[in-house]
Amino acid sequence: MNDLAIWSEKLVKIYPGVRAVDGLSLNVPRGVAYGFLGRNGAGKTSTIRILLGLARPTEGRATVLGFSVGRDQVAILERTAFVSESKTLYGDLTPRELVRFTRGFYPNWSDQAVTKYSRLFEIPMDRPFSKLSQGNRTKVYLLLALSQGADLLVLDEPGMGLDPVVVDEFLRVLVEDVIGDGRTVFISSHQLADVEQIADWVGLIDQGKLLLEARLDDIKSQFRWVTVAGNALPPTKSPEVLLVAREGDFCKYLVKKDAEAFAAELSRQGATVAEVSPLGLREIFLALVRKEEACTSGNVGGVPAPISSAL
Amino acid sequence: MYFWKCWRCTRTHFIGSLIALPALCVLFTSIFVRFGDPDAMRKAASPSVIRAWSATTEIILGGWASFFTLMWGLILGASSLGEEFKERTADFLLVRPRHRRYWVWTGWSVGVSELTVMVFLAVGATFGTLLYLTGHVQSWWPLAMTLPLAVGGAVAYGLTYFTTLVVRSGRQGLSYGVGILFINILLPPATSYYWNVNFPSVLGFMMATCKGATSASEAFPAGSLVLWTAIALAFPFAAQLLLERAEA
Repeated sequence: MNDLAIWSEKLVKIYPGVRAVDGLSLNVPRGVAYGFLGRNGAGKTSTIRILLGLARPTEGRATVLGFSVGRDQVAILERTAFVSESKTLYGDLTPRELVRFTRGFYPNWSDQAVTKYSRLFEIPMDRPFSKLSQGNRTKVYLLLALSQGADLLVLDEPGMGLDPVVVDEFLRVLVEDVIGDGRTVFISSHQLADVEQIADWVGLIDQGKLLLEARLDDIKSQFRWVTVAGNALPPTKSPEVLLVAREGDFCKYLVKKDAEAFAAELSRQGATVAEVSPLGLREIFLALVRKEEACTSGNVGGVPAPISSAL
Repeated sequence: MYFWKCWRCTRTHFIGSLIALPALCVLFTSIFVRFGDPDAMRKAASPSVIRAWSATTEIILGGWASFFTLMWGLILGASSLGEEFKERTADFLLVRPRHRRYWVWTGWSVGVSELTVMVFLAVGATFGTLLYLTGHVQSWWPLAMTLPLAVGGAVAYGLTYFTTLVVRSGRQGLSYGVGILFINILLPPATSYYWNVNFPSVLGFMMATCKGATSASEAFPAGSLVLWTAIALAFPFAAQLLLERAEA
């Protein structure tokens, strides 16, 4: 448990009328970039808020950097930098004053980092925050987070309002200065391409439930679409099948492991396997979070398998 | 850190008030003395006349000073911690590595400190003017007025500090604070008149300080002071309990 940067067990958060987080069990290793993906309202921000003590879980428990959420909150916050979705700071204060305000809270604060990143991101340090553009506000937030010397960076939509050049610089900084330094990045974003660029692991959440948690390399090397002709298919269930969807006269199986063996098994049972094809993060995301029509006539694979744990 | 931030965010209004308040004090005191006919009082030179005039002066000066302090406390409290939620900066603030009580007590301390400075200044300017114009100020008057004003101001400040945190909006918090304060001012006379029940009133406490007093020991309302100090401190305690259980 303590080897993990973030660990949660059956985390539940219920707001009036909404089950925002529904039995979420996360395992985020230390020293990696973890992409936390999901649609709007999937429960990403609610999860992050629980982990940072901004919201209280209805059920379940969690640790961050080995410290218990809720009980050891100050210890967690000393070691964690957070870029919130709202990117709102004190309008009257300039970035320089915000640095002055923030620096005293963190024993590992780096003024060198402030100088480096303020130049890199071209932040106007003496203009009031309220007069900055959305992109510059985001940059100030990133500057403060990066300068904390935190062991864990929790970034909620960090690229919001940034131009592609700055996003690229920021991702490079994350890879070289943060992950390269053995620290952990937990990044929640809709920008799948950006996440795919840096993430070692991904967790995919929908309606508060974790649909998938896997190494990105494993996804690329092992996840496959197995496309089968016809609808009246033999009943075959496999724990490796994440999803079954209909596409015209074909059924597509999203298989997380041993796709060839699964395809062979289908063939043995009389199905015609049309194709076994690799897929990227975007396709997996779309496949899992879209409510696609299930291939029910053959009852193959059953319901999208209770969502996968780590491979 | 947060102390500095609170100071940074309130200093413009504070410094503005530091300039405006003495001017107001001098103006009001001068008007009162002008219409209070101090020359006639001096000519009369009777101790009983002087005492009566002084008591009246105190009541009236204490009245406007009390009212002003209460209003200033209410307004100051509305631009406090609760506004962090309205301005959506609470997400930023509450993930800084401090216990939540730190935010409550630091923010409260800054406001109370500013309020106390203002009260000292108001009292100083008032009695300075009074001394200059009439030459009839006893040394214990300023002290006897300062403490009740500061405590009363802290009550008003703490009230909106708390209500602003409850409703998470400065404007709404101020409305609730003003409403509660007016009820506190209006209710005691009503209950006293109809049911002969005496509820404590913060304005009454502040104004009654020097009423008819001829010495420091008479003027210094120790019992009331303890009660209202406890009430003033109850608000940040309540705010702490609230914030420690609140979700941002």
